[in-house]
Amino acid sequence: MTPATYMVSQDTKSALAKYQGAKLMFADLSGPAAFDPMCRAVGKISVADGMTIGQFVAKGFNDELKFAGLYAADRVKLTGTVTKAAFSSSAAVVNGYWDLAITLQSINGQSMSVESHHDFEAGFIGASACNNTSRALGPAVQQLVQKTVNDPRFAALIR
Amino acid sequence: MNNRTCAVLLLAAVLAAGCAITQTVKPVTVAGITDLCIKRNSRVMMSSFLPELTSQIEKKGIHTTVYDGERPASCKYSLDYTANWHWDLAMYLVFAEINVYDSGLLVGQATYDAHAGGGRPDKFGPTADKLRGLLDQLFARS
Repeated sequence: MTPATYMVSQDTKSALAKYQGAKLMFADLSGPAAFDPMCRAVGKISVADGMTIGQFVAKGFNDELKFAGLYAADRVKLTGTVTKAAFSSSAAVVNGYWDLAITLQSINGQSMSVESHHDFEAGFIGASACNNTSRALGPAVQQLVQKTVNDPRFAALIR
Repeated sequence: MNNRTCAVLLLAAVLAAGCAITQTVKPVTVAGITDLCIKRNSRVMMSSFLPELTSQIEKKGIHTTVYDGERPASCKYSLDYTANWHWDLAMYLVFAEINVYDSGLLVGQATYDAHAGGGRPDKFGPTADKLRGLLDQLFARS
């Protein structure tokens, strides 16, 4: 299975520009409590470097912070939980989706929850469809991260 | 829509989906790359792939340096790749992935996947041509 990789986004960098001066990082997110990584009868969804979904989501946030110049390794300001991670590789026969949800907590006591739905073209043949599903986790997390930092509640988390 | 029409449409969808060669390119999002360090992948068995890759990137005005192991600290922009071939009366490129990084962060990615394209004649052809198509899109903005 082709592992998911995270690609930084210029849109997210632009969205984070208003927080210049802030320095933070995300600790690995815990959860999800229930996640079935099996894709059809092909194999398990794979994440680069053997990361868990929570580690991969945290990497997504931290990569964006680094790209925007806001990352500081000696600060742990945000923790959280992946409350939902689910996918389909056969929606409408040849399409797929990822559903992700997280709850973030700040050391200042603020918290927020975000959900994201990402559609992609999976394909029909099992091996190919599952590879595409595995790879689509990257864009799905990118969408989740972008939705989070664009949410007005995010500002309260990093004060 | 009667059952026969449904069956024909479903069969057509299955056949179309079963003969797909997918090419997915997320263009490099940073501009002004003049130097690029390329990590040699010793698991890519076709020895001509790396020279072709560097040559095509150099033609885009980007100076390349090949390295092994860890990315040298002097390399702000780097690239890694993988490629596999299958045999079907002739060798053909079945999968290739090229990743471009800015200080270790992934900023561009191109993937060619012919695993599901077994029935398509255009799976054959020079790897250089398929690589050119990927690189043109990958570096379109940089």
